[in-house]
Amino acid sequence: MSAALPLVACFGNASRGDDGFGLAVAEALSGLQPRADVVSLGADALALVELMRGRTHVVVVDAIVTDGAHGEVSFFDVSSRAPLLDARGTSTHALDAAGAVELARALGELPPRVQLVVATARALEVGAALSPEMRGAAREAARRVEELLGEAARDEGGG
Amino acid sequence: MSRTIDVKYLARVEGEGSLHLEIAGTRVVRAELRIFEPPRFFEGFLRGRDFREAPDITQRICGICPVAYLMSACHAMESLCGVTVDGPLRELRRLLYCGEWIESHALHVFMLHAPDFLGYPDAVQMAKDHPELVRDALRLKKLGNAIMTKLGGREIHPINVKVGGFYKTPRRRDLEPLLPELEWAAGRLPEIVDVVRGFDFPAFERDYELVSLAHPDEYPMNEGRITSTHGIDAAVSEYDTVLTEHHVERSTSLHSRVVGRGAAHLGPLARYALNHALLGDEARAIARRAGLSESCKNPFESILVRLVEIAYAVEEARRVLSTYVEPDAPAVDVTPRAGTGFGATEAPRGICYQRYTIDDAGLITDCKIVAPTSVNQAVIEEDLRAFAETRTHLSDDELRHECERVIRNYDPCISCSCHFLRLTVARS
Repeated sequence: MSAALPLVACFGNASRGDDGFGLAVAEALSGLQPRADVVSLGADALALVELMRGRTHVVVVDAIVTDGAHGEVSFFDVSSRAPLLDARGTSTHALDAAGAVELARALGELPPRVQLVVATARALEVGAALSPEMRGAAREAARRVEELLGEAARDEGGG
Repeated sequence: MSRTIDVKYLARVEGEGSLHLEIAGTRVVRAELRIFEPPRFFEGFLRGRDFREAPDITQRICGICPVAYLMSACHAMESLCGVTVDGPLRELRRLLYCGEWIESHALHVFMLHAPDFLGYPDAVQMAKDHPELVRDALRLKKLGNAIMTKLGGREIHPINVKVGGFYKTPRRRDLEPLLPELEWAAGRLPEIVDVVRGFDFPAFERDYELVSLAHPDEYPMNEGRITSTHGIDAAVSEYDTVLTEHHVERSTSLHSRVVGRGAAHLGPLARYALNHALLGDEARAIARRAGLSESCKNPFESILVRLVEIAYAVEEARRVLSTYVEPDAPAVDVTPRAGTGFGATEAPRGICYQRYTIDDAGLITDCKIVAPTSVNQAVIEEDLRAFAETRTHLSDDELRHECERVIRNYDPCISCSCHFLRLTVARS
């Protein structure tokens, strides 16, 4: 792990059906190392604040619940916009990924480039496997993450 | 005039519950903490399982205090099978508990409780004006997690603890990298206490029956007798004769009462009142610096006591590390025998009690698990009634906020307790 490298932070729970999306993306991107640090973070987002510190580029991968189509992959540039998501929840024994991003922003520690790659989840039952829609979304999201890393490297003159 | 105040979902607590207040004039006629998380049936599906599975299964009750559940299960099974775990293995278990206290207390003190005193809705908003407090929280929590990872294999839900000891014990050189951060914490805590003791604490004290484990030689974590400020002095095996559970319609979490009396108050205030003499020198110095006397009955000041306990855990962890001798074996052998065993350890929120009956084959035939938040429900409701009655002149929104503060004093872990927060206030 090096703060000089881009970070791909993948959230998810493999025992909750489509919530395993982030972990599937991390697995698909395992070959990226050592060009980037790819980490699976389970549900403890506070660790993300520490991991982001000093980095210039962070991609956060997670499943979300929206009205979109099952498995639809979306992309958000978090660092250049006002908070995208309400970081407050009814339980704060653990922050979610959005809360961690907003906590880092409040601390003045948000990296200059933070991007969010998400997919719309539907089936979140305990013990369920990742749905075919989300398996396809994981492959698409992995390609998108590689594109984002490539764009950032070109912008920074690194290739 | 009457009014009803409801908080439909409590914030900055773990799990889901609500609060309902009914006020007639200046009297609070009903104060109910309603827990509506579904029951989790751990006691049911532990039946038929091998006795060695209990620690790994019960720790899944909580992602914040898994050590409490797995250690209480280990102690219950070991007492049942006539096994004593001592020496370096006992020291390592104590070190593991230090990790849990540090990470759990740091999260509550800085991220959940401090915003109430500094006037912020949450830690994210507080971080803009008080970044140093949040950075301290993150660093302390990371330290606690590092201890958990060294001993447990990972920071949440350890996989290296078993009935009889550990699957693998660390080499001395594996633990030494923890020392610099422990030294940082010991040096930083006095400065943190200087900030927190300046908070505006509401004047509110009650004559609680404070209940905690007590051990003759050490501040209680893993072992001790059940004691209270009102005369309880019982072995863990006598828990069911001094504290009993009962169902109330408004909660999926069973309530508890002290036999022949009323509510019990578990957690940091109880441990401190009954065991302060056994704190280490550094933790005692933190308590003096915080302005605490030998007992603290103001639940709002529990934030100070949690800081004392963080200091104690840091001090104790350093002691264990400095005296650690690598054990000959990672665990002692445990052979099952039919009978009933009892275990109680001090989770960050108070006593976590477990009772198991197993058969000759080592299969669990009966089980009882009591989470500290479950026991604290009654005393929280009593606090709500007493505190709200002094503030009925406030608007509904103001009263709602004050009552949420009362609940957060207890760092309730609602998901653990289910077997619980929305606040509603009714005025008449």
